[in-house]
Amino acid sequence: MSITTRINSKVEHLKNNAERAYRKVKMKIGLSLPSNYLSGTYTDPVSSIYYSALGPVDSGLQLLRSEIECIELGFFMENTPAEQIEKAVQNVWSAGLEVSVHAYLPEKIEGDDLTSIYTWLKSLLPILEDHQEKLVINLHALASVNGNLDRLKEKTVENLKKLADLATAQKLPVYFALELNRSKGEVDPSTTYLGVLDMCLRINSQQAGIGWDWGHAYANVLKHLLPPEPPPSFLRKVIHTHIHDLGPNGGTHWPLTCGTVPLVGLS
Amino acid sequence: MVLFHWWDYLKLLEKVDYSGLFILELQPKKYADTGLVLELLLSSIRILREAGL
Repeated sequence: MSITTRINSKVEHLKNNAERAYRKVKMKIGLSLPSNYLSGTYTDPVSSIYYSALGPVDSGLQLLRSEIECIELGFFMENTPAEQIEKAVQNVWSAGLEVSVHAYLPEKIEGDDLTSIYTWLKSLLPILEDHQEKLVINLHALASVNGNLDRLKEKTVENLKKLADLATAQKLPVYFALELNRSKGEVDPSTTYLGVLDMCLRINSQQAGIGWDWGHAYANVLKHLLPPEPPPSFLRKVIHTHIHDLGPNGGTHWPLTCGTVPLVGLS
Repeated sequence: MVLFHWWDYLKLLEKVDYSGLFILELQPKKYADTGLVLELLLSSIRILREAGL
């Protein structure tokens, strides 16, 4: 091997190490937990499982604090009490962790105040900056079993644009991530890279981007609905990521130990 | 056959620093009967750390 080749190889090695060290400082890993568990209610089946695994929320979050930097409030709907969301977020902050939220995109949006749409924001926004710089709210596009694809797409763009524009107008550090969904037989405009990208480009806001769900994307790849690699224009709009593996029969949201979604090439 | 490499994608996601970018989203109801919910959760986090996050 020539000296030039060896130097180039060493430089490449150092560059990779530096990049990895940078990422370790820069990137944050989070865990999605149900708002029931996070607010201290353990009666539903999923919260009960987490209670068995982690104990009560205070000690559970302390245990997780040594492993991760953020907790995402698991997906909740419009009928979830605002008090539950507020208490869940407060518990996460009390444990010294940051928070992101997996909420819903309302079908109807009225008013010119983001906190009248997501009422749980009212008590949280004034103290947000004591705990983190910004809040990411991950959302699904509007979808339905028998809907019209173009209409669902239009409505998703319209409503998400309203939310993002309100955040901008009110100078709120709230960012919306539109999730790439798994294709599961519904009429859903968000199951392809280009579908999600197109909606985000039309929303055209600095406060809205893509939530790239790697498990959903790979499930769609295995069904030959997507190419394995998203286009660079899609990647440029990514602001949030969900990570999970595929289990038996292609089921999503399994632990990464399954090894279905390929991690090769990471080391 | 390796279809894609997560680390390659991470390198493309430059200048993205939103809090909670990489959210592990598991549904333990699907594998609770293994009795290994915490172990599988911690192993998943470890895999991400070893991947460079």
